[in-house]
Amino acid sequence: MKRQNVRTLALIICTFTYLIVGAAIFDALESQKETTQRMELDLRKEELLRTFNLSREDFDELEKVVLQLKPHKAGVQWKFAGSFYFAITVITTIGYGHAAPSTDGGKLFCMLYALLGIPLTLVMFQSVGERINTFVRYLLHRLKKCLGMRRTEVSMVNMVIIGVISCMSTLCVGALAFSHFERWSFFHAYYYCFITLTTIGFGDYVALQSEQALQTKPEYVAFSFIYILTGLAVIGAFLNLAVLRFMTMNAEDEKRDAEQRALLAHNGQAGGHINCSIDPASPSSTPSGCGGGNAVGGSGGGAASRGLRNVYAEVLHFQSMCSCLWYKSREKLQYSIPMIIPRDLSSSDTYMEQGEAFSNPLHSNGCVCSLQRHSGISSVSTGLHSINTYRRLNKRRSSI
Amino acid sequence: MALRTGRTWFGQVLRRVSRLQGTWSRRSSSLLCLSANQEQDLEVCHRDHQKAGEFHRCSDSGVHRDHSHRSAPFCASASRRCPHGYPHACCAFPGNPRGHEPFGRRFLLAMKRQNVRTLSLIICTFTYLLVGAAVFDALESDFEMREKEQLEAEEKRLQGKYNISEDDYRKLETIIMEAEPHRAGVQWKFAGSFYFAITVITTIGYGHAAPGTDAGKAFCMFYAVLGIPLTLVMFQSLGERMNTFVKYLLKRIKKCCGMRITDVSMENMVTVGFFSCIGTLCIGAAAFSHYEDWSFFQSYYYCFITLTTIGFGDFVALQKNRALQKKPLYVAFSFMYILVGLTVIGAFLNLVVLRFLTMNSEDERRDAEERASLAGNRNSMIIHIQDETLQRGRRRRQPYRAEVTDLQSVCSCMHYHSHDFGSSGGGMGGLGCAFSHQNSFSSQLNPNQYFHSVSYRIEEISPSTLKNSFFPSPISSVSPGLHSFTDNHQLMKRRKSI
Repeated sequence: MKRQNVRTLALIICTFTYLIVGAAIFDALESQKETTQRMELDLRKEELLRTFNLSREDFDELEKVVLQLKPHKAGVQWKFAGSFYFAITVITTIGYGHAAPSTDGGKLFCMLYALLGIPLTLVMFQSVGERINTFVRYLLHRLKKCLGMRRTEVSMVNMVIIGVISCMSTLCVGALAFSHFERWSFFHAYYYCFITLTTIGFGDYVALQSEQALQTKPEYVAFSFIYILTGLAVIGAFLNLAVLRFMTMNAEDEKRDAEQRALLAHNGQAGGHINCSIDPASPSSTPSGCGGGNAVGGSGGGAASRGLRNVYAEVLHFQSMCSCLWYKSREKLQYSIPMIIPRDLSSSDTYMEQGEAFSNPLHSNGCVCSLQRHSGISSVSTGLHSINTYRRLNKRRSSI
Repeated sequence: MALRTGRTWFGQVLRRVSRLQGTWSRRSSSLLCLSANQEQDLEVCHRDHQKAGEFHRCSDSGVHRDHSHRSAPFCASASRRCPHGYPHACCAFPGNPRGHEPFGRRFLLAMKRQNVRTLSLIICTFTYLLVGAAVFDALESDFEMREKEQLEAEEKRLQGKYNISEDDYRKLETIIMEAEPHRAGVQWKFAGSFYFAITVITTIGYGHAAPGTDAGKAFCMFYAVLGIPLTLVMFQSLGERMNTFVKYLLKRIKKCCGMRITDVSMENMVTVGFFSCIGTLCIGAAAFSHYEDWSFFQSYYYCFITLTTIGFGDFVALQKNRALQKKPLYVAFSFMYILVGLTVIGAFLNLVVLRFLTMNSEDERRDAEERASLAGNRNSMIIHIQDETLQRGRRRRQPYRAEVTDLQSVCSCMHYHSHDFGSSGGGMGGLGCAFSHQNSFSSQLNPNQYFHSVSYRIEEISPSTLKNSFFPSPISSVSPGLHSFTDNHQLMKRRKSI
């Protein structure tokens, strides 16, 4: 259990630290300008009040009207095109706020709409993103083949690089387009695209709000919608590639702990007293000792089941000791044991390439922990299990 | 942690959904059944299934199992156990009685599942958008028109009342718009910046305050690039911990209440999750409606829009009466509420939605393994059982080889039934096919626990890895056992990846 708790705690602390640091930096960057701008605006306001001989209350009234008219000034927001735009901002959780439902019925429907739409959209974007990744991997593989490269597997690094580049270029394409159509500077348009595609959606810059674009420029409207959805798919693909595996880490560890517990229970049940605990944190416990003890202490099962228990114990040992070492050596292993790393992105290709070239699997040297072999069965099955474990661990890390 | 689907309608819904997925998986896995093994198997397979729909007659006896025709009886026996309505799907041979299909076609048919799924999701989403747009149009358009007219009339009136010219009015308007964020107070002191940072990395993004300087905008982008994945992972991590804890609590409660079945089913978890989400929203609604002078409905709407990270910004907390500077306790409460609320929602998403996000990838993985096993397999992928201790009866004498491949094709509809096998010790119970091996294996162990726990560990051993088996026979008798677990669990795991 401990690992998940440690991880979770560490993440919480990290996030809080990140928030505090961010707040401090934003404070430093923006506070100054805010105060000066505020003073300026106050002065101008005073001036205007004097010019038009307005009282405070009059001004407040005027202010209210102006602010309420603001969305209307930007055009008709709730005809079909505007509603579609709004629906996009709801289910993708961008939520500009340039238009928000005013009626209670609209608010209620908005909530229900989001309740169903957001998971649907999440799943859809991840699905499309995974397809995109698979396609890119295939293309890259073919490219490598065409270029006559010796190793044609597509590594994770390749994929990440391509992912980053495609995200940047998506943002740039959007920035160019919007800076042209909305007459923003390139930087502001880039900022707009970024804020949109990360679904933050401040609403300080919103497309389709000038010159009644929603009603009068259907191609531009269509382009904007398609850009937002495609851009989100590209970002989703990158998230699918880089981040999704981390979101399932705790659950997989939990599963593994359950297995360990079950195995312990089973060992205790069938093999008499076993007092070695398989603790992931302590490398000193050697389940091979446990397994050996098991075999020696007599068990209720036959030779096969005892051997199996040995084997399982060793698997656990591998898992418990090697997880952190595993990740580092994965890249190396990928080339030395192409067959055994299906979790890697090159899986399908690897299999296709080297299905018959089943190289020595025992060459797997990703795990540096040494294990004492006690019996014939375990020595061979260790080979089996090293594969398993690698795959299992590998799978854990790269569960795309 | 074994979750069993409940027996109520919700559990059945879940099972039907998973069966549907199983159908899809069977479509392609059945190709394995066709192509993986010897042709005699195929003939028998095909013969047995020629009588479409009459699968119930396929016998489960061990008579014609020895030494041949592994696939067919498994298919047959399993199909008998297939849930009602899907007997033909259990071993859905696409009607091709020939031997090995062309490699490419197998891929095409096997690939299709992810593509079909993706395509249907895209179509679903577009339809959803269209429907939503139409409904919003119907709900809001009229009001918008009326409000616009009213406001413009008001504007005219004020303009006339104060005798403001058009140009002057524009200037006034600009000033008012620019001053809008300042109305709510100082936005960028530490408290306000912290609030802003929260809205960035959680992607809520109200927009009540947005960086005015270019440096602020640039930093905001970098801040988001690192912060958003960190926050996503953090919330999922914490949500998973929460789910585990709730599961534990529920189990204890069930025990204390003296209930017979103390396992926590998925239904239980979903119900608890759903109610905790509603509860969180209500608490927030009550608090904010008190502090911000909003109606309960408006507060609820605010909490909902915030916790789903949509964050319109039409309602934003901490913007009245200079709360950011003057009411530190309320500020702290707001921040904690947002973060805790997001955790609760994240936990619910982790419970319900996360598995769907990885579906395509897992299917892709399985397809890769199938391809590998096809590629690597000329004959037996594994080994014949020779260990006497493993045999408990005639039924168990079959080689494991066919089982492994057939497992996928046959047992994907079965695996949910596996949950229900309860304490069926060594028998065929409600399991059918290779589960019998597992049972025979572990008959002296607790089959429930063992099945669920151990198998996970050895998952993903695709048969191909043992093709050129470096195992002499004693081992071979051991390892196939692993495989029956493996493939079962690979399939099972896919379904309940929590």
